[in-house]
Amino acid sequence: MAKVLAAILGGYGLAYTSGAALAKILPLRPSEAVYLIGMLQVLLYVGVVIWIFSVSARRAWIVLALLIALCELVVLIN
Amino acid sequence: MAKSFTQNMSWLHTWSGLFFGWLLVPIFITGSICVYWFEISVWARPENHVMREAEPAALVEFSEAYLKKTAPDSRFWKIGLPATNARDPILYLSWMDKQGKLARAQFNADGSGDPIRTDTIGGRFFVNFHYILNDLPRQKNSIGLLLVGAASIVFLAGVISGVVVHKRIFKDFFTFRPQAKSRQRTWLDAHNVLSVLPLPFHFLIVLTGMAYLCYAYIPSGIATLYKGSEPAFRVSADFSQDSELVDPAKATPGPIAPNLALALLHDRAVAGELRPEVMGYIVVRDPGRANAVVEMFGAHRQGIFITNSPRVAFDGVSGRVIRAMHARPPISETWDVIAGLHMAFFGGGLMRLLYLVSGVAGAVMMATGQLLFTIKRREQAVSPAAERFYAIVDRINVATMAGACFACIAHLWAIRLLPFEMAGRAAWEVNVFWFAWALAFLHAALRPPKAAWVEQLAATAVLCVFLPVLGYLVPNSGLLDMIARGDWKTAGVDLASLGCGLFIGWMALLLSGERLPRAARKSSLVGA
Repeated sequence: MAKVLAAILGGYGLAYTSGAALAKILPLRPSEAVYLIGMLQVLLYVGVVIWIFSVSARRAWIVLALLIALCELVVLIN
Repeated sequence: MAKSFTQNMSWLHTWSGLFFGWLLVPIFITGSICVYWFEISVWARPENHVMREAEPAALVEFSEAYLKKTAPDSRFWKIGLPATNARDPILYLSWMDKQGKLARAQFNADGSGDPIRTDTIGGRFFVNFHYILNDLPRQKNSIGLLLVGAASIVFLAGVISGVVVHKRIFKDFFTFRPQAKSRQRTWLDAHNVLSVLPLPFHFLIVLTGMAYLCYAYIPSGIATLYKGSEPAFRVSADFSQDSELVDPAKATPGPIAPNLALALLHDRAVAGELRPEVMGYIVVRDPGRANAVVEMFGAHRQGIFITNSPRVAFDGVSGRVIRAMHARPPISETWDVIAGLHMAFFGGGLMRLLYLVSGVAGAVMMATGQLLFTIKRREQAVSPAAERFYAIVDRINVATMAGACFACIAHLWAIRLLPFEMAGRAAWEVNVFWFAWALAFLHAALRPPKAAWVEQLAATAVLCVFLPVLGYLVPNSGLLDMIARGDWKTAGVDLASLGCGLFIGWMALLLSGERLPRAARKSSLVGA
């Protein structure tokens, strides 16, 4: 159950924040960036869900939290 | 204790398959149907069945006269010409009224100026259901959108984990034992065959579906770059940012332009590679004012793409070209192709038939997975509580799978049978879908699961087979008349329904002859 939550909510959180970070740093015209980010996020989300089910729930949450924090940092700096 | 990767994947595959399968099977069924949604829309409007298309120029003239009379003070007109969508050719006018609301009118494309009177949702409900689960505007319905999104992600993960779980998948693929001693073995073989064969398609259709609306599912790109405004993103992505509505104060009528001079603009459009015969739609901002802007969009592009190109914007008074766009930038174009793979506008009727068959195979694949779940577990049920749980799962299976088919065909019956003069007719077409589905749930709750399966499938089959007969109750829609006219597009809906009816009837027959394992029979008796 912890894994299901990590996969669906945590995966979404990571996909969302990584998109926000990319939106800040990609040197593209905005409409192009939105399409590119959107397509990358979907791939990332699927990958994260699969990965989470191959590791322990605790490890999944820790890595997710670190990555989300990193993305947030990129958003804040830029 | 750490479980192996395979065990973890097995757990994911089983339980996500069960719960999201209830959502995904109806989504796959409606999604498969809506490959033909334009055809269903034409089918739903009997007055469209005998129609010749008029010249685009004549239609533009008619539209301009109509809009000048109906909405002279409007700040936004849109004229959708039949070429916008060759599969559902109508003249579609919309305009913004004084309250800023969009009003619309539909006309026959034959130049007669006859409005389309049938108030019908056509094939649109199947489209809406398969991506937002109901009929509300998407922006007001993020729950439906996100549920479908979550189910899609789980489906993709389930497909990948399925490959891991069914390790002997390629060997299994060549193994189908309909006469096998164990029923479970047969269902498993069916599940495997239906999974492997169209696996690439299933992966593609769900992934492209997600990619199509990626900016809505995970809107951080729009949130960051467009302050969360999806319309602003659309305007920018569609290359019409220079024709955003001008501030009302600046839009006060100046010297009134003589008229839109659409005939003149035709000449200009030719210069912009937009000949009248490939004209899709025309948008007029602030018509009849000094700052009027006319934008012309090409008809639907040939090939896989789903967007319209080229586009040209003119000054509405002088006819000067303000902006022209002939090609989209590379990433938008990539997205266009990916979305095009999902929408299946390309490749003609045979390609769409392949999409339909593969989609149905997906629904049946998940259905067999659902059946496997209960068949396998019921025999091992250790406690009365577990048995009760499996009995409930069984009943939900019936209602979400057979019941969804029943609701779909009931919806088409409503489109044919509701009286044309009924107020709110289109809304009632949708209500009938929900009533029929609720009925299926009730029926599944009251009857033993096996009987419920057979009865719901049989009822669906009967409704499908008799759908063409209803055509004789409304004008221009008799199946034989349509075939005689060579109107295969419309007749195709009836013929497809007939074909589906025979297929579903055959499945009902198969299931009625099926002998369930003893434990299953016992639990279905207990449940009754």
